[in-house]
Amino acid sequence: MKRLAAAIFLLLFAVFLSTWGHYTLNKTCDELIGELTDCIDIAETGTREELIEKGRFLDSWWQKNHTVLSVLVNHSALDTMQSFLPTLKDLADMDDIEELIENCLECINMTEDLKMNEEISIGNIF
Amino acid sequence: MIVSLIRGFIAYLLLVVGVRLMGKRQIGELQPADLVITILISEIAAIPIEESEAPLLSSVTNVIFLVSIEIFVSYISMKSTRFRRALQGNSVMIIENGNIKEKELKQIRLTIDDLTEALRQKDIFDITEVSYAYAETNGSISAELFPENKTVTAGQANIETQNDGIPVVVVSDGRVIGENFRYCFLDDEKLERELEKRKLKKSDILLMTADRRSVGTIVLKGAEK
Repeated sequence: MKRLAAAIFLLLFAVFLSTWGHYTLNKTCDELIGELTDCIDIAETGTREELIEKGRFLDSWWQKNHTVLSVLVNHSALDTMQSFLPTLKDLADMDDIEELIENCLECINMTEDLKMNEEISIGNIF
Repeated sequence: MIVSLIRGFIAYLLLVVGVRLMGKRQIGELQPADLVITILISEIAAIPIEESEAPLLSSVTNVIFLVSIEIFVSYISMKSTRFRRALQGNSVMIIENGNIKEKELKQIRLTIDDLTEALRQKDIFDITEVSYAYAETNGSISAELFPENKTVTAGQANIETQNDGIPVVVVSDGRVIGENFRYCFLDDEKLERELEKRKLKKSDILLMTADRRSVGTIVLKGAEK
């Protein structure tokens, strides 16, 4: 009976971990996509100061959330974001709007790919 | 590199705990489901050691999940004969009353060479001595000899014997194993008396066994010199 109880506990723990991982990844990806979309909007219609501020915000957001993401996904999937997001504020400072928007779009695509790979679907299972 | 070492250590702990939880079935002769789960969790646990970019959490979650599934499956196997048969199959009689059952051998894809080899591993060198043999679900062969080929027992020869119980280790590498006292005649006081009688100290002893009647083996440290 003790072993059975341990098995039930382990099963619940595994289900909890995977559910938490799935939910956290989706939530984090949605947040990132939202912030990057805002950044693109500001780049197109906002001021330079707002863009620099957004860049700083994204940098600090990435510092906070990078660890959680690297626990949940393959590290190489985060390489592009790791190289781009900390430099966003510098691109805004240099007024390199075109490259900034291009990189934001690339990051949005990669984040959506991450989300899609973690979706519970027949395609992903097989 | 250090990260790889830490991951390796975590995977090792996880596997040790997992195999321990799954019980002696995994360490003894394996049934098919046991073999599958053992290979699977080993492979999954190795992934984050080989690939430093792979998330450790994924392997940990999978191993924990598989260990719990294995415990459930073994519990259900214990309770349900049908489930156990579906999972493990049935033992197959391959020798009946001294006759080799060729159809059954073909059915389980066991050659006559495999059979004779398995019997030799049981110290049976003449197949004609075997009255019955089974191919078990874990792949091993169990065999029963004809009565005239069996070793005579004390009971058959009408020799009086006494049951001294099982010899247990009471001192190991200088340390007293108190929990084994209940299987033999000793307790702490009696042990001290026995050691005094032999002019020995606990720290001198590498191995000491005893049964219900007397002290058995005593091996002293440095005896090989």
